[in-house]
Amino acid sequence: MTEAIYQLSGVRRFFEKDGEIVRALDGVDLSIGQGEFLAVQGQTGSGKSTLLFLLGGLDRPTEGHLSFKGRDLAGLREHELATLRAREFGFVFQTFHLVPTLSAQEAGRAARRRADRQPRREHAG
Amino acid sequence: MSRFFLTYLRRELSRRVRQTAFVALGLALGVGLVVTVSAASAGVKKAETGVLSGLYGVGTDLTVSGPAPLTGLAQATARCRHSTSRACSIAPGVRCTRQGPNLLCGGGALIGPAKKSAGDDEILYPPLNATVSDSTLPAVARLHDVAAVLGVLALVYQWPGGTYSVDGVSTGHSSLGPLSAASVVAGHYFTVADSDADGALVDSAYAAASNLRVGSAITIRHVRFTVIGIIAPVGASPPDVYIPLSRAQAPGSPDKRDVGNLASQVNLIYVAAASAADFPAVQSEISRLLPSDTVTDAGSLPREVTGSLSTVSRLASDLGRWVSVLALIAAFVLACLLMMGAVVHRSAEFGTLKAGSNVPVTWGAVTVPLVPSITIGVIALAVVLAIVGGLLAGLFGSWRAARLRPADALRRVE
Repeated sequence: MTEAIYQLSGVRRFFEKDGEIVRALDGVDLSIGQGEFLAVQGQTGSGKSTLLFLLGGLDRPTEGHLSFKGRDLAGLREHELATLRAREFGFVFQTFHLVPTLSAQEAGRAARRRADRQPRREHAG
Repeated sequence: MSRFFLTYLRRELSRRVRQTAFVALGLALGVGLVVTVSAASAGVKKAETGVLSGLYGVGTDLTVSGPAPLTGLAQATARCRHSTSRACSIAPGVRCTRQGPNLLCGGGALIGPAKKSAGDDEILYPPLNATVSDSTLPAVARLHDVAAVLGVLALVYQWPGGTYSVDGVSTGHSSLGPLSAASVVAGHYFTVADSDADGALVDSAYAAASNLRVGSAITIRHVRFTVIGIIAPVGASPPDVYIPLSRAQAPGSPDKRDVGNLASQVNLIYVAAASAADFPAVQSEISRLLPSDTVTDAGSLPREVTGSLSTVSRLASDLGRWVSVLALIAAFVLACLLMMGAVVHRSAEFGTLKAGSNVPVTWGAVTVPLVPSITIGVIALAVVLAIVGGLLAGLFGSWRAARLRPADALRRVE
């Protein structure tokens, strides 16, 4: 197996909805290797999108450990997470979520602006 | 500011025309509210100044008047005249008793014939203040730092055809007293030679209403006065007619019954101090000389004027101040709400941008339309308030949206 770039251990993601706790993810253990192609299948409401949001750095787990290339995503600050999203992840939403006043090219360029401004960690170090 | 931000701003304003117009209209409403209230407040102040100036001669520093004014005295007196009782009250604490044909009120002021008889349908009386002898005037004039003194006898003339106010004024002191700010629009002002003549000056509004012109005759207590001049109104409620003081004190009534105690009397004393710095000293000296009278200076006039005028003045002033404050708050809140609404409405959009990298904080694009101006200062204040309110609300809303996790922001529309 190739080197794992994602490591998930005991990941839980709970939501509160109408006074009740919704357990979207409850104890996920997962390892994803470099270059590995992964498909997640499940019924509606089974937590597929929640898992992808966590993997994409768009959300944080309620409990558990989630690391990307050895960095604990839950421990990153918001601007660090934003930089990581801009540099490392591509994310296509199910419903697109386009910005109505920007073209697709402009929206993509907007996402790169921060990444281009920030010196890469490896360069800075 | 980056080109991306400017492009984004321009697109937002041009493609969301309806929302931009709505926010601009809301801000314009706030600006208009501030301008309107400021204008109204200024108008109230101006009106107040106009009303008060009528009570005060421009060249006058202090006014000395008798004991408390009696509101509604004319009506009360008329009721007393026709009452069958021997005594009646014309104001709280002021009782009138019949003394022969006259009413004796408040222990001193003889105000007119009590018994109505043929040819006796007229009454001339001092309406507001108890009178004092004009021999007081030299004593006031001798006070230290007093530059000039003028006595006035303010009267009301009631006759079957109506009621009008008559001021008996000195014919030689145009720079002091009720006529100090008056301008003659027809005829001429009193001369010293007029002091014992039956000449009258008539307020232009009253002249127009009564169809009087220079040369017309008016009758006051059976005496015909010839109108020698028409003057522009002084203040908001000026006297209708001015006659020489000596004629007001003894207008030649055939039987002299109603004016007997008005001879040599005045009920308002106008005093000019040598300088503004002397006001307190002069005021104090007059108070010692005339302890029962009221001394009013220009600064204290709004506070000292009795009756409804004072109440209205204070009410208008307080109301104007608080309405102004409320309008400012309302304009500010309106701007805040509009911008907050615009930002919150777009949380999902921010979430999308943030999902890519980070949220460009929107600094509330504010469009402030031009509003008919009252003063540059008021417009500037209103515009600054709208911009500050819009910016603060935009910043606050953007800050809150930026703090949302992308997943939370996106979940709002899913």
